Amino acid sequence: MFGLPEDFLQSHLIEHWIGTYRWVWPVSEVFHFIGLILLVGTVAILDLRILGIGKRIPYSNLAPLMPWAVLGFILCVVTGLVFVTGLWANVQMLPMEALAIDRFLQLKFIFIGLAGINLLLFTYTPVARRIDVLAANEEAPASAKVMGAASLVLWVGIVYWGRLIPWGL
Amino acid sequence: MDAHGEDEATNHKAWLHVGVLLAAAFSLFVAITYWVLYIPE
Repeated sequence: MFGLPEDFLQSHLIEHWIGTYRWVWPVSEVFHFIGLILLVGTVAILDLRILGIGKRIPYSNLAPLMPWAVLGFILCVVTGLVFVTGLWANVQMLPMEALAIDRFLQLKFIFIGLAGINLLLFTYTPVARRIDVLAANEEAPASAKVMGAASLVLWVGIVYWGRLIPWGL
Repeated sequence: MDAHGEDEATNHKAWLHVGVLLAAAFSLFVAITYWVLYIPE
């Protein structure tokens, strides 16, 4: 797939850990969920404010939550890599094989990519500067609301497709 | 406006919009799920 070797992203060390220590997979799952809570919870709070909920709170009071979302994203990526690189120990399938056949895994990655593009658009257009100074009871511009709505739908979708991955294998 | 300066009517409208948005999103997700699982290629 994509000209990559079929054992791309496979780690015998992680497989060994998962196969030998039964706690590695559930502990990784727990930290994956904590990462999701931090990431999606924070992003949802910011998106909902942009969409007009909790308008009494100035956006600048919520923006300092962003580092928690970054920490959540890092937790999700690290634990997600445990699931991908050690997949063989769980379902006897190579990561590239799973990526090729699992429509839900593909949808999750597509949604992550779209959420990333949405975040880049938000950050590197004048919208972010306009939102940063959004005062209490002030309405966000329509362009920001579209991006906030897209972000909310994409992140909810990422969680949804993630839960369905086992059914796509 | 309420005691906190929040316009309640606007706030209800915002909740309604978010509710409709999420209902539409979940409908789409469920439709895609059925398509992936039950419609053969």
